[in-house]
Amino acid sequence: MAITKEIIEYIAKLARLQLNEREQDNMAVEIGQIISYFDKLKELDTSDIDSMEFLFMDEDTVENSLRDDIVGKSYDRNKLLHPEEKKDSEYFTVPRVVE
Amino acid sequence: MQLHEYTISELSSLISKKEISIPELTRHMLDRIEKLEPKLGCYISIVEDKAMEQAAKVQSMLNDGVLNSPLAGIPMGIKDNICTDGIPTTCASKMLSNFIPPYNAYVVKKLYDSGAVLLGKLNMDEFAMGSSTESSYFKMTKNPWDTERVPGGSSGGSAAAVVAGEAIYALGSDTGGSIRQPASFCGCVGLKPTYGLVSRFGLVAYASSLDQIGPITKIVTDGTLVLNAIAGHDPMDLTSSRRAQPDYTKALINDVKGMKIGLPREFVDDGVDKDVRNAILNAVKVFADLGAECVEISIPVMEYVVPAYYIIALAEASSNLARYDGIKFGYRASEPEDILDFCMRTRSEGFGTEVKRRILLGTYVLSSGYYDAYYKKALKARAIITREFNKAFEKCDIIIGPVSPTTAYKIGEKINDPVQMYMEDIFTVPVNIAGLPAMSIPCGFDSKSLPIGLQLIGKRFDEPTIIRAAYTFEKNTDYHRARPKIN
Repeated sequence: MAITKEIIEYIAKLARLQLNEREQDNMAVEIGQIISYFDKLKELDTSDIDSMEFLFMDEDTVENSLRDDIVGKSYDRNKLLHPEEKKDSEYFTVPRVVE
Repeated sequence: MQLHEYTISELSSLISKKEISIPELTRHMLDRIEKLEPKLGCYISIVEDKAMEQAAKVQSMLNDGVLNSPLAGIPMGIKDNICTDGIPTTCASKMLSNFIPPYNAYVVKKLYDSGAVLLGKLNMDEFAMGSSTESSYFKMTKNPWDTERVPGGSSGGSAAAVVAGEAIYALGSDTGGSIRQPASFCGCVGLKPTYGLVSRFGLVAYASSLDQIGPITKIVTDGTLVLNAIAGHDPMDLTSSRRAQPDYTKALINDVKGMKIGLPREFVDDGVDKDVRNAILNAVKVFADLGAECVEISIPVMEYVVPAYYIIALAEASSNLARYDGIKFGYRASEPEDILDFCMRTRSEGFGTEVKRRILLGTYVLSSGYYDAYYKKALKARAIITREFNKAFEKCDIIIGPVSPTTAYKIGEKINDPVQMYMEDIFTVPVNIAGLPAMSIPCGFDSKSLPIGLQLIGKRFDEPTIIRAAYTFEKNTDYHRARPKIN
């Protein structure tokens, strides 16, 4: 299936990316070429195959591997804050979301 | 011979015999970096003061006898997608150009515990997405053998730095060949460990079911020493293996008698450059002359490995990179109209073209209506590819072949043809798909005097066998001794 500019616009919106006109045109062509290359996979017979959801590891790590619930040391707040936040700020700031 | 030309074990011995001091060695490396950086562009950041401080600290620990590691005092570089406390970790992206991690990656902590001296952070393709280091936001890294050519990628800065003597060794990351291919293009040793052997805690995620960290070094012994230091269970990485870790240096045995070495016929077909093919066939002969049993095998599914790989990798990437919204860290768009505009513009201004292309592709193959046709299909292909490799290993102990169908190409030559560029990953990506260990070692030069890499692929967690074969090859050939004439 051809990848149209409309498809690019739609997936860009899903991916939270804004593309200008020229980027949309280029991406439609390039992504179209790549997807038709991906289509080669359709030749492969996978009718009796289960999909491999996880890469198999050791027998003993296949089960959920959970740490004990022990209180650990946290990071220094100033080191975690975004560099554009005011020093000693207690929050990450975002544009207003509630009117 | 100058200090930057030595290997880890040679320097370690000079340090312990007090023939050189660690600050003296570190100073030499920093001077070498200063001299070569304008020509090669291996580093994104250089931490001169911290390096000298660390050098003095490690020297006094050695003098006091409280540190005993072959890596103590050895100056190294780390790919810029591995977190270093207090030192920028940019992933070669505008998006993370202001990011200073508040913690060290597991591997960084392990290296510091071994007394390593960090020189700086190495250039790479943006978010490790590329095979030539051309997609870095900051700079182009040049191949030390021919500065008009790419060093490979995505760990191009790591491989170029090691071969040019701007670092004694380096860490890279390998999602689909990003350690092995630059090692091959630059003529050094690159090791991609088994999935789960080395913790990814602190590695900026690209494709979590494929990513592994590993060493890039001048020789096999050095790679083994670094692997010993960074492998091991880490409770902070869910996929980290709990197996007891062997001493990998015990595998440094110059003997392959009776070892069964498989060469898949698909690995030396018409798609491979003539010079590369001849070098691989010559390597087979070297092994046969040393008493290995070389057998021809077949992996018929090879023509599907690249599409399967890219679908899985990009699907995971689109999900992993969703976290870059400008709120907690990274680039922030200015004067946003509202939260959606803030997020959209942050991402559009912060990511480069290749990263956007890959996020869009990943989003597409996961989107409603295409999920089964692409993503689910690729997961089924993954099961088949893994099964075929397991089957191949019933006939041999290791599989060998090229790392890349070509040697290093010219800067700009392939960047505008993504499909062509993706297809050249054919020999490296199946290793990540199946979670296997693999190594790239120098095995010859093409007609343009550019290095050719030999890939050795092992069974899961069977690093010792590929180390043994690689070490034997190295001990009986001279390719690893060649160095580019760059000064």
